[in-house]
Amino acid sequence: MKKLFSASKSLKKQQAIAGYLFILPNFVGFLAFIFVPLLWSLGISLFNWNLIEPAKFIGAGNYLRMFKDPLFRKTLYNTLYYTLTSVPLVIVLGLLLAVLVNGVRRLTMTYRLAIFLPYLIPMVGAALIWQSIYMPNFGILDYIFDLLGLPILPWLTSPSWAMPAIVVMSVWKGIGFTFIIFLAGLQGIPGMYYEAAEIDGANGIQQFFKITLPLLTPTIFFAVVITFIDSLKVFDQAFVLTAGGPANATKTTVYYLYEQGFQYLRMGYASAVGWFLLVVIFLITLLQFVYQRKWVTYE
Amino acid sequence: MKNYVTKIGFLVLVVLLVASLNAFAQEQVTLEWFALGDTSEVAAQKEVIAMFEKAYPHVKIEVTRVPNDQYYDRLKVRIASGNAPDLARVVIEEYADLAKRGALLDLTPFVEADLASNAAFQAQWDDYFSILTDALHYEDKIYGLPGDWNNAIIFYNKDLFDAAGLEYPTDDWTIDEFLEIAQALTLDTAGRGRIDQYGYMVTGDWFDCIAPWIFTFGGQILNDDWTASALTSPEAIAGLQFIDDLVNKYKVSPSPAVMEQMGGSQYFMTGRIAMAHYGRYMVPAFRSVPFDWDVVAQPKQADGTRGVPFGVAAVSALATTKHPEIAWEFIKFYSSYDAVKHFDSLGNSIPVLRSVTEEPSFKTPETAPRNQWTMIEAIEYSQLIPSPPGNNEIINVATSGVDELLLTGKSAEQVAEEVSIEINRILSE
Repeated sequence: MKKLFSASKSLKKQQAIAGYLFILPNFVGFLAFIFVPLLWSLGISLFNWNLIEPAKFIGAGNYLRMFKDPLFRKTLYNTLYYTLTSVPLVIVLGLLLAVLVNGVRRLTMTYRLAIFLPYLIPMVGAALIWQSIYMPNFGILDYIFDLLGLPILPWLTSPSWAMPAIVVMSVWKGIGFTFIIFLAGLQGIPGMYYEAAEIDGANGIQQFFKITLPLLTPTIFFAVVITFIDSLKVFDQAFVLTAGGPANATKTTVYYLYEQGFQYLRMGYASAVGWFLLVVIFLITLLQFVYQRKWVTYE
Repeated sequence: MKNYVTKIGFLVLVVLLVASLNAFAQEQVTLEWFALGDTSEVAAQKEVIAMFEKAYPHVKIEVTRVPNDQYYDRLKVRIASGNAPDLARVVIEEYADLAKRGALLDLTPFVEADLASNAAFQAQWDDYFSILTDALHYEDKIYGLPGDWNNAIIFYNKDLFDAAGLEYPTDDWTIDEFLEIAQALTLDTAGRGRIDQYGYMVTGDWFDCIAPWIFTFGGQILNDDWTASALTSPEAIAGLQFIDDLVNKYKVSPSPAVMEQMGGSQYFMTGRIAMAHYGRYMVPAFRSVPFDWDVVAQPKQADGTRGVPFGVAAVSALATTKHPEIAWEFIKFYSSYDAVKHFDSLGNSIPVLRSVTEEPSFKTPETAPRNQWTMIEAIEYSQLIPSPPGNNEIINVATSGVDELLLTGKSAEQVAEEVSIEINRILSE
């Protein structure tokens, strides 16, 4: 008896040690490259530091400064505009495509690949492609619009159209992600619900709204949270396509952070902007989690 | 036994003595040169460095090449980490910033000592264009010697002029003539109902566009000691209005946003633009264009007023260098006659020594731009581009302001007002 007991205890201990050792590299990496720098940047956000001179403590000065800068407020507006237009589009269109592709019998792999492929392209590469699509006078879009007799829009060269242009490009790219997630979610819905509904005489649209949608709400919730967080951090497209212009129409908060920190060398201020964004994203996500009870149904 | 020991001991002593003498005579000094430029520019720098190393055999210069757009970021990171290079090229836009923060070695004592005793340096100092050495004084001290410089002139596409049957512009042309020519060269050449050739290109650039037009209308961007914006004066506003008119009233130019999407200077170099402001730095790129081209001076007002900006880059030593005297020798050499003559073969900046520009190879060249002497004549109305500390942000604020002027309904007065408020805020930090 005693022997058995001690054998199992040391086995457990061995397994525990093995477990910790496996996690150790990841954990050390996390500490060294994420956690500690994060704390350090919080510290730096309380200083004025331009890399060349020693840092000067200014307390909450950077945080106060943020709200006094009209450009910062404009970037918040730009980022929110981008988020509140691209997220609904990506979710709704991704869901639509997933439902449609879920229903086809042939060439499913081709459809899935075609829709998912843009998501795999590096953002910078995609942005360069779209830059030539949007090119004034010589771009593909201008050509197509001209053929169809539609008015030619000044896509990336107008302060009013530049952000919509970036939203279109980002939605095209982001749909792949939500599509795949919804496809997986759809396939997790047991077929017997649909069979029962058909017996009861429900048509396709009714089935969608009464069965599919409610059972998909956990997946939709996940997709909304993830795409929201990603959208609030938008930078690559604005950087490559328009360099924040024209007239700061596409300058997002992360772009502003980059500019302040790496072009003007205000390291402390840039860290403060970064932490502000972190807190905003955290609060929004928290709100979404609290609010989910109202609309997400778990089986 | 005794003999043997003394002989060995003597030998050892002699070897030690010779070795130590060697060490004293050839104390090998290594300096690091932080190099900016593309392959051909850095190659030219290495050739000049080889010339220097030949004259100073105990000195070795290590070349650290940095891509142009990362140069000043990397330099500042190196300074911040306490590992600054010894020598660097500091462009005027970064010069005041770095000098103010004590990152550059103060060369004033070296300059004064050499001016007092070194005849070769006295001649070299007098040979520099005085506007350049004046520009490199920060608070009465000097932190570098001129390495290269440029001012703004107009490049034009001769083929487009020929196709329209127009005479080439001359250096004493007026703004009205400029406008006439620009309008005559803005055409729909393909007959698709859209303008596809423009007479001029408004780049919206701080140096190539905002400065020349504001100066030519008699205005200033900043006040004399670079402590406040001067954009709200009627003259500066007139300059801004003219830029607006070029795009929106006379429609002789695409907007800067369109130009950027069309590849910037590529738009000109594919032959769709007749005229644009650039500096000599564009010459190497222009050597490969498929059309005939030349340069011409800034057009003047009816009363003769005109102004263009100039910028200069200094060769400086970093304050933390361990060999300031040798760094000084290198700095002097880099802008001496032999080096400047060598760099002129690149053609990407104006030589800093008057004597080099007076030679036929510069004054009356065989290849385009044939009229490059006009860059020297422009000195009399060239003004240093304002370069206070915090420059980067001021430039961005001004260019977004011009974007707003050209693309939204804001008036020139409004934009001047708003940009001035921002500039003053930046300058007061």
